[in-house]
Amino acid sequence: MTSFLQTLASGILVGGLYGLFSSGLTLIFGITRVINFAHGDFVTLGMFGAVMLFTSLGLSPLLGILPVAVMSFLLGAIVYKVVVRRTLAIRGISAVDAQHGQLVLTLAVSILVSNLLLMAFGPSPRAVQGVLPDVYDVFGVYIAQARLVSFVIALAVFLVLYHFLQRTLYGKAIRATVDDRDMAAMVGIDPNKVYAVSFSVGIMLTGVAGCVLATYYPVTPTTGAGFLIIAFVTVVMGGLGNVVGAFVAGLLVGVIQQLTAIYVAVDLQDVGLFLAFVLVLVLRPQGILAGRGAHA
Amino acid sequence: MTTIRSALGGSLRSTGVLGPVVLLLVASLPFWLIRTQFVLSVVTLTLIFMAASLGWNVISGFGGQISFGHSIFFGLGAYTSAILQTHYGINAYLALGCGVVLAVVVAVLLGVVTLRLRGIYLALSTFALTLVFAILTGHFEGFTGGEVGLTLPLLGNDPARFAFEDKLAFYYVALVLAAAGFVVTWMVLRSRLGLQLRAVQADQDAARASGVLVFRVKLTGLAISAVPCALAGSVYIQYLGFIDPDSAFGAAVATQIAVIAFVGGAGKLWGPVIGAVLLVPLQQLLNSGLSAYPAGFNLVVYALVVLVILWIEPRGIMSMRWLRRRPGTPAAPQPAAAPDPPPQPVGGSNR
Repeated sequence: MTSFLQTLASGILVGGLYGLFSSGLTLIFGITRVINFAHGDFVTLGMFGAVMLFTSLGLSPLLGILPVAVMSFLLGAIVYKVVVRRTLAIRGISAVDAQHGQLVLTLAVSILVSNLLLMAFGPSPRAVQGVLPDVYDVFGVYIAQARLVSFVIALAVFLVLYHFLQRTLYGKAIRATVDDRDMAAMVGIDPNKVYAVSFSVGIMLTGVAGCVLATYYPVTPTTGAGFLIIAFVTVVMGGLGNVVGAFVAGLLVGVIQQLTAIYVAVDLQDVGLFLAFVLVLVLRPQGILAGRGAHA
Repeated sequence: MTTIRSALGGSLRSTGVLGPVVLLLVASLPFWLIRTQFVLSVVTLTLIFMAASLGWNVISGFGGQISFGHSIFFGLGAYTSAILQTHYGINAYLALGCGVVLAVVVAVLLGVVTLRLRGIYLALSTFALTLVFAILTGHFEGFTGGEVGLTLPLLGNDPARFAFEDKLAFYYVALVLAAAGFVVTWMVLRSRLGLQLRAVQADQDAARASGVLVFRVKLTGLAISAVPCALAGSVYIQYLGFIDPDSAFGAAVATQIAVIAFVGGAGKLWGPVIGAVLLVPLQQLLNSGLSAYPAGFNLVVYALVVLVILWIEPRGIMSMRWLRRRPGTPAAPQPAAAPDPPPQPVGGSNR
């Protein structure tokens, strides 16, 4: 029983971070209809950012969140302006062709980023060591301080995002664009701005998630592929384009992954995820939280 | 230049002329151009991946249902061949057939789950599934050889068991495979199914409204497209004699098959051919020639080449302006069976 609770706890704690970067992916998809294949690699980039700030400046990843967030926001803006936006600027291209072009372009960005990291840092794993080393004993369930703090940060950042989407003018513009692009444009919302902001915010979320994940998760240049799969499963479970759904599904994905790792085999943890993914596709393709009128 | 333009972008008849010419040219390469074993292996691999990418083009190019996991079928072909031969001593040709059947079965199962949903779900689930296959083949060591992979027994020269001493034989096997893949996709494109797939690609709802059985068409397309990939996988293992989870199901293979077609021109008959001729040699040369550079350099260059090409023209090389007759003409779909069409803008043509 304790072992079950232990698994559950670590699943939820890591799931918060999955939820955070997956909500970035689903936000980007909801707005731009782009599945960002480089998403996992931006998480890796955030992790390397945290590691570099820690090893070179001695900056704790918790303080590193701010510079990493700013950098990843700018990086997201650049990738959007230079790469994603390009496909829309071509004369006579159909919407479908533009979308497929964006898929492959983000895929190329993914290969580029992970291999630039490989060139710069080599294949050996790196980690931030000695930050938040305590372990709490909660009724026999051990909870690492790093995991707990990361989860709290993820939750806090997500709540800020939620508040931003619900209450601010920009957030409302973004939600309006998700619901009906043409109508939003008609009432004076500049779609280009909304696209750029939501893409950048989506990438910023990966940076933040990567930064706090680095406090307990070692990073290699190829870690991104695993995160990408997690994000894919999570956004489909949450319902494509549904930000709250993605966060909740992230928790679920964390738990499923940990349960498979403990009770089946560690190296099969992503297979358990995939089975859950197929079940969702068959039974509830609109997402686990979706009622009627899901963002589709 | 005009002949290249009209041939690559022009009518069906010109593909009928250009196809055999290209085939004869490539078949003659070992006699005057290919001088080293290295070049021979590069061209052989180019043809193998060309075949896989031609298969991909049926569902993802013509049908517009993008897959980032056709390595599933490639890997199933390779692993079925390897496992049946090493564990059960089954004849290589029979094993190849079994691989194709298994790939089609998996394609249908995958299609039943994902093809009723919007196209993006296929992209997500194929990519996830191929990595799951990589994990599974890595896990069940007793059966699949695990992360180390499987090595075929050395048979020397035994054509009855698909083993050739001379690598040149594999070159011609790969050439036949690629040519067959091309002819099959050409036939699909000209068929009723091809027309229906292109209707689905253009507008699924409109296609359904016009009486196209969208789901069945997509499912058939996916099943057909699995066949060349599985065959390519089988030929790949017969040629190299070795397979491991990463080179069968890994993300690199998964994306490679799609990226070849995208760079050449997804949905264009000649797209995978052009893409493979450009990208596979590039990758092989970078892998071997520049080994003095740090790990990852080859893929950085590869990614940059892909980025630049698609940045210039997201629809791939086949849609680039110098290949089109009149620059800037709007994309207009051509009727599938236009009798001997006169020279005209081909922006929306699949040829």
